[in-house]
Amino acid sequence: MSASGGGAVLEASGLSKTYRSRAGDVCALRDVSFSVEPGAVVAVVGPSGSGKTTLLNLVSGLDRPTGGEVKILGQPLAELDAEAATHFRRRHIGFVFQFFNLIPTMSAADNVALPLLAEGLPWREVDARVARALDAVGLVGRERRRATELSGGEMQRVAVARALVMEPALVLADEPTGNLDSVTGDTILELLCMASRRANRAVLLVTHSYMATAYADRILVMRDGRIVEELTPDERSRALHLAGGAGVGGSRGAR
Amino acid sequence: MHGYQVASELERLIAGGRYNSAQIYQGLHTLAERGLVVAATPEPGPYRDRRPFSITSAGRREFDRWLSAPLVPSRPLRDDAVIKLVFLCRHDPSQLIRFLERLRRQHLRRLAGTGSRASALRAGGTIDDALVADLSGAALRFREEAELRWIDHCLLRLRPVIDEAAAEVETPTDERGRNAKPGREPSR
Repeated sequence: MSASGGGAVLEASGLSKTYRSRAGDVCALRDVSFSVEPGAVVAVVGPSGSGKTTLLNLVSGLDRPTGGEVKILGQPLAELDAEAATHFRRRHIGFVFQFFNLIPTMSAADNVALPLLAEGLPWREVDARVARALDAVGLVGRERRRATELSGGEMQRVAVARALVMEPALVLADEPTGNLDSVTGDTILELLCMASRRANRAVLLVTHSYMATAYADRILVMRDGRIVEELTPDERSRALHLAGGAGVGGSRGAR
Repeated sequence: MHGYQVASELERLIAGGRYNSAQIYQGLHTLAERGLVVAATPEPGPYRDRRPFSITSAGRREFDRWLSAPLVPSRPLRDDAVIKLVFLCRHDPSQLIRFLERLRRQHLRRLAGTGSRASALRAGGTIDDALVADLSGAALRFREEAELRWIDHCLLRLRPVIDEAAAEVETPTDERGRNAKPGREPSR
């Protein structure tokens, strides 16, 4: 399977999620449907508690929906058992997180090598692919540095390299700039989105900040577990302009 | 519970564990001899060799005692890798780097095999089986990380010493009469 085939990389249809808790049922997601085509960057933006993280957990197969279906590359995730789902995720989905999720005691190169090793690739190929991935994010010369010896921006570059090293069809980014200053964050987004677009990969970017949607082709606005609006880049710019560059709370898109 | 059930429960909850039911049955029989568990008659049918066991009140007391007893950390430094390192340092330093690099690759692969799980946040705050399995998996991952940290530390300390020794043996001086030190890039 490759990202360049016909059809959507990610299809979510009628997704719902209800959590049971002592205080009663909590509906985190209601009837959410959307798709992401190859080479497209789709941003999901909304305040905390709007259901973004739940959505991300469902589309990555880390959690199961109470209703609806997720298909990645045409494969319904619900049909995979736990082991097959782990393999599928490793093979086809790259993750970028807010807090980088690197192993701090290990070098940049080793962190990037892990997904390849998990898939059992031979060392020669692992070494070559890691070198290419670190080159692509501008970290040549920093390969042997431990994660803790890198700056925040460099750590996120390592995380981007790790997400892309398996050449996944889909990249899921959860607040990838949330822990970076705005200039560094913008560089990381450009790197992630441009590299993905060039390789015809799909990106689903989840964020609470409109600023982080600069490279998105489509912006889905979430509130109270639903997609309440879809914006084009032009509409986003206008919304940002009206709100003076504020986050979700102050912009026209979310209110 | 019969031995097969015990084995599969352990495998489900304790990451990286492989248990064969013959061993489990042997253990259960030993416990039965001590009166800590008692065997029932297996149900007739295809699984009649699966003899169910249940815990006795003496067994429950012994189990509670074991749970609350302080844990003695096991085998502090009876690690093969450490012993080999000591012998290689003394008898064959030329093999050291190769030994450590090979070990490093083995551990990296094993670490990759444990899976860096990005576990979903669970609502409701319950300790479910997925969380238990995640915690036991974390024990494996962190141990592999510690091994790798030790190996990297050894390589960091040993490489300059060994490079220097090699430079002295192979090329004692360069044309200008200074000690030649090959500027070696650390490799994986």
